[in-house]
Amino acid sequence: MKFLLFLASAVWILTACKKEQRVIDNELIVDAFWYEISTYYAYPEKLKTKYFDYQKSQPIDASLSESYLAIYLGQLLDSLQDAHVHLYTPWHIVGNSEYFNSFKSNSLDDNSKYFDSLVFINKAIQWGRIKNTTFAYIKIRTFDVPSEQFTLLDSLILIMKSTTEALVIDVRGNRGGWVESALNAASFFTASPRKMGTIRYCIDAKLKRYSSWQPIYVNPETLHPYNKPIVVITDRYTYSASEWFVLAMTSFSNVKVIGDTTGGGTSIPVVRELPNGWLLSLSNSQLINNEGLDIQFKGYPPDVTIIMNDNDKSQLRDTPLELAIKMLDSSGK
Amino acid sequence: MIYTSVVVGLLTRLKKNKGGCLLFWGQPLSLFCTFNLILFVETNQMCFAETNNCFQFEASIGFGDIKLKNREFNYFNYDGISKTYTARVLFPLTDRIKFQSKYENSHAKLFPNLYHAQFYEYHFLDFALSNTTISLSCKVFTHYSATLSICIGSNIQKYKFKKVFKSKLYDYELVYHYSYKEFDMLVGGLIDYILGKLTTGIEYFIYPYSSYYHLEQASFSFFNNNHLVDLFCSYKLNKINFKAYYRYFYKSYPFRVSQNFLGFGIVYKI
Repeated sequence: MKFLLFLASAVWILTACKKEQRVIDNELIVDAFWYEISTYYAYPEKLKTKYFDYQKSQPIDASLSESYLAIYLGQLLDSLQDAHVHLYTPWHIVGNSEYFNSFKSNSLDDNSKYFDSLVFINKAIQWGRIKNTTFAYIKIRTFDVPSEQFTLLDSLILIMKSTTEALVIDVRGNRGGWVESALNAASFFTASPRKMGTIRYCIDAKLKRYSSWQPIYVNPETLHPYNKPIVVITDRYTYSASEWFVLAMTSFSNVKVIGDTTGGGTSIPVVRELPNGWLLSLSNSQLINNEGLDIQFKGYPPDVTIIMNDNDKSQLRDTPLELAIKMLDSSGK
Repeated sequence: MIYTSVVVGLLTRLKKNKGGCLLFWGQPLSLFCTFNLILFVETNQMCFAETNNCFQFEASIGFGDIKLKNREFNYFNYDGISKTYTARVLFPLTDRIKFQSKYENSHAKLFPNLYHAQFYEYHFLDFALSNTTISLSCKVFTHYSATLSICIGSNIQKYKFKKVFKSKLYDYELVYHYSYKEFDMLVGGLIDYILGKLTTGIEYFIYPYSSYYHLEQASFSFFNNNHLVDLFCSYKLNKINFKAYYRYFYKSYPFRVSQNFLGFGIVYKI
């Protein structure tokens, strides 16, 4: 009998120890969502539309399941047309996931026929020599790697300086990564500190509070920078940290940019938490280049625009690369 | 008699609150006042030659819990155990007026009360506070060995927070730093009671004016709800006094934080 009583009380106590699962109502989540986006999104004018005013005024359905709530909030974020704005939920990442779908690619999947050799130096860098020329080619595939991986550029440049006359840097399809990596990569192409622009961070957009404008410098990391002509090729997929790299390169006098306008996402995102643990990524900074241009949403316009058409693609002609070779040829003459 | 009264008071409180948490400051405060009152009534015919009017150096360490909430960090309440180191110098300027300078340093690792802990691998907030206080206190009333003083002063506080978390929804660890510099004016009162080798007392401070600096912006506040209660007793053994204290600190501006802690230290009097 005593044993049964002990067992019953043990079961009673153990079941009482079960952690209560707290349910958070949708209204709290949506309130937090609006608070975060109106406080930390650096471009509040994008929120001042009839669509957002209407959506803010609508009460949220309390019976909406969390997955549908995620889809609803994702649709709201879609209308900002900003690929740095996402909502991370347990099911999927919502908001602007199809941002790049409307853009046309400006590169070939395989353009190896243009090179004597094209080798992977690491996950981020491909290096080669363009056929029948004295031009080197570097493709930077991503900046989503630690900035130390770009220190290899130092040795590459040392080789290229003595064996090549010009350089093509291809950042087409590079959707960015770490800004530090982009600046580190650019720092091997300058002999002196160069200002690439100024940045400020949004403290509270509701109160129009921003940090002061801070200059951004590209500081030299090498004793033997590449001081011969450089052409940077871009397309609409060149985005985020990759655009930082392009802006940094444009601050050097020996660099020309060709291709298509970049994606238009130079703002640095901040990740905020919602009460239910979802994460909200928001563009939190404003960057202007040396010409006073903020390329967020617009993209950086190249010095020479060249966009591949379907005919070029079917003939496997990398016309932006061909133009780069032509420009470097003519500059050499 | 004294201890019987304290025990009875304690039990009464416990019964009244159905075993509620004794660390809630109102209860130790009322107990302590009762304790002091009993001491005073029982010994008011005696007069002790001991005096506090001398140079004092104090070093102490305290442990306790801290609760914090700030919407800038999160929607959750944070709590954890804090360690507080205090150094205090006190010296008399005249018979009635004393100058006091205090430096306090608190550290804590706080954990949030997450609604959906399953989304996170880890989540914590490092808290660091350095506080420098200077004040002047003036004796306004003395009766046998009980003294009432009023204090006025200011303190400079620097709060540093480091929020670190790794969500299972996101590939990277996220680290955010926040810092607040705060300047407060403080006004308060001190009652101390000397009973031979034992000194007990209570300090109470309010902050009629506060200003804080955060992210290049300054904000000001008047008569907010920030206050501090300090109950202490010390025992003299040779030249050194051993001190124990309980402190409760609450602030609601610019963020909400409450601290309860028990401290132990030594006071050296010259």
